[in-house]
Amino acid sequence: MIALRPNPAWFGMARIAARSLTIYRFQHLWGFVSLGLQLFLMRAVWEAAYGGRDSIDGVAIRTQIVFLTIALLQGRLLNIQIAWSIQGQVESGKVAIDLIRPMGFLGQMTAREVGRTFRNLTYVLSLIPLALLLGSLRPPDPFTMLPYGASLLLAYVVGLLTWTLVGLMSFWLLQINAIRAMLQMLSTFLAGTLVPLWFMPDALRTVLTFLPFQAAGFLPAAIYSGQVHGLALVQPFAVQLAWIVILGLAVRVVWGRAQRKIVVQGG
Amino acid sequence: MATLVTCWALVRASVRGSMQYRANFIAEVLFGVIYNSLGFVFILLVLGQFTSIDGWTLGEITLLYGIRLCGHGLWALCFSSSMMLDYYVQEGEWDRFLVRPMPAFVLMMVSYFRVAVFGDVLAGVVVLAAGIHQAGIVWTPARVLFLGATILGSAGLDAAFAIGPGALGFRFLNTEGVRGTIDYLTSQFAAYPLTILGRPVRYLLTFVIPLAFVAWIPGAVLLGKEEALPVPAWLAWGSPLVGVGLFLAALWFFRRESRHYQSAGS
Repeated sequence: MIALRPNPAWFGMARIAARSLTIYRFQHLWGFVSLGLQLFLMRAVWEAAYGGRDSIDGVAIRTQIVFLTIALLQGRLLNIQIAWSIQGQVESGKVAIDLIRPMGFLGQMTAREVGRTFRNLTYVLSLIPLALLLGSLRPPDPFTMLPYGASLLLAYVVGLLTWTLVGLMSFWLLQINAIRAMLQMLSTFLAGTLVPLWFMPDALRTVLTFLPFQAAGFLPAAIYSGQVHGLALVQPFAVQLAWIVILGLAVRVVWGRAQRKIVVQGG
Repeated sequence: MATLVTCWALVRASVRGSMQYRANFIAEVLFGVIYNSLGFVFILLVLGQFTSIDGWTLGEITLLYGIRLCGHGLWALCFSSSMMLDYYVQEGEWDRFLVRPMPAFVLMMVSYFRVAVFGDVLAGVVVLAAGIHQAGIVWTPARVLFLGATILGSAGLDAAFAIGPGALGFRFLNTEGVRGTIDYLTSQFAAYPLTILGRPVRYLLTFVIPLAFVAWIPGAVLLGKEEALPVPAWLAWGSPLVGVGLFLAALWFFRRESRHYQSAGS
C-alpha cells in the first residue's frame, strides 16, 4: 500500500533532516569555492574545444555554457539520496521501527528527502548570484522561467521515483552500495548534463533517450538554455509525465512485493 | 623487519576481509573502472566532436589521462585508507592506532583496503597503453626512464593532495568538501593541457596547487612539447621530484596536524 496520505509528522521529519545538514558550516562555505572553480574550469574546457568558433552544430558557445551551468546548479537539487536512506534503514534493521510508525515507510523516506531538498534549495539559491557574476548564467526571462520551473519539478519527481526503485532493491539484496554508487556516479552522464545530449554520438543519444535519467536532468536544462521553446515544449513535458506514470506504477508494484520480503536483522 | 611482517599480515587481513563478499567485490572493482573512465569518456565525447583541444590530439590527451590514472592507481593501492581519516577522528577510532607499538600513520594505512582500487589500476594501465600507442612518442632511453619516474611522481602528488588536506580532519572533523574539490580537480582537469586556462590560473595550478605536474608537464616532455610550457625545461624534466617532495611535505604536515587530535570521548 502506498501511503501518501497527508500526515502532520512529515513536517517534523523534514525539518530535522534539513537541520542536520547545517552542522558542518565549513563544508558549505567551501561549496562556494568549489562551484566557482567548477564553473570556471568548465568554461575553459569548452571554450578551448570550440576553439574560437561561435557556434557548433547550431549550438552557440553561450548557450552551451548556460546549459552546463544550470545543469550543475539544478544537479545539486536533483541529487536525490532516497535510495541511500532506504538502504540504510533496511540494512540496519531500523526499517522495523519505521514500519511500526503510523505512517507509510515510503512516505517517511520521501518526507526526509524533501526536507533535504528544501535545505539544498536555499543553498542553491545562494549560489545563483555567484554564477550570474561569473557570467555563466543568463538572467532568466519569465517565458523560459515558467516552463523551466514546471519541468524542474517534474524532473524532481522522476528522480525521486527512480531512486526509490533503486533503494527498494535493498529489500532483496541488502547490500546495494556498489550498485547505487555506480548508478549515482553514472547519473550525471546518463542524464546528459555533463555532455549535453546534442553533442552525443547518435547511438548513445538514442539509448539515453529511452532511460529515465535524461527526464530528470537534461530536459529542464535544455528548456532553460533556450534550446527547446514554443510548441516543441510539449515533447519534454510528455516524456517526463510518461516516466512519472511508468515509474510510479513500478514503485507501487515493487513496494507491494518488498513488504513481503522484509528481513529484520538482529533483535 | 618485524614491523614489515606485521604490516603485511594486516594488509592481507584487510584484503581478505573485503573479498568476503564476492558480488560486492566484483561490483566495486567495476565501480573503480567506471569512476575512473568517466572523465575519459567525457574527453572522448568532446574530442570526438571537436578533434583537438588547444593543439593536443585525442591520442596525446589519452597519454596524459593514462599517466594521471596510473599515478592515481598506484597511490590508491598504497594510501587509499587515508580517506577514512574523518571517520577515524569523528568516531575516536584514532585512539586504537595511538596505543599500538607502531606509527599511527602506518597503522592507518594498513587498516583498510578498498577493493575498488583494482579497478583504478586496471583502468589506468589500459588508458596509458592506449595513449602510448596513439600518441606517437619518439622513444629514447631517457624518456623510458622518465615515464616510470613520472608515474611515481604523479602518485606522490595524488597522495599529497589526499593526505595533506585530509590531515585537516584532525581539527575540522569533516574534510569531505575540500577533498572532494581536490579530487574533482585532479580527476577532471589534470589530463588537460593547462594552456587552455588564462595565465593567472595556469600559474596557480602550476606553482600553488601543482596540478600541472601530475600529467601535463611530464606528458609534454614525453611528447617533445616542452617549449609550450610555462616552466623551464630542467624543471619539466624534474617534475617527478616535485611529486616526491610534495609527498614528503604532506607526511610532515600530517604528523604535525595529528597533534591536534582530541579523542571523541564516549
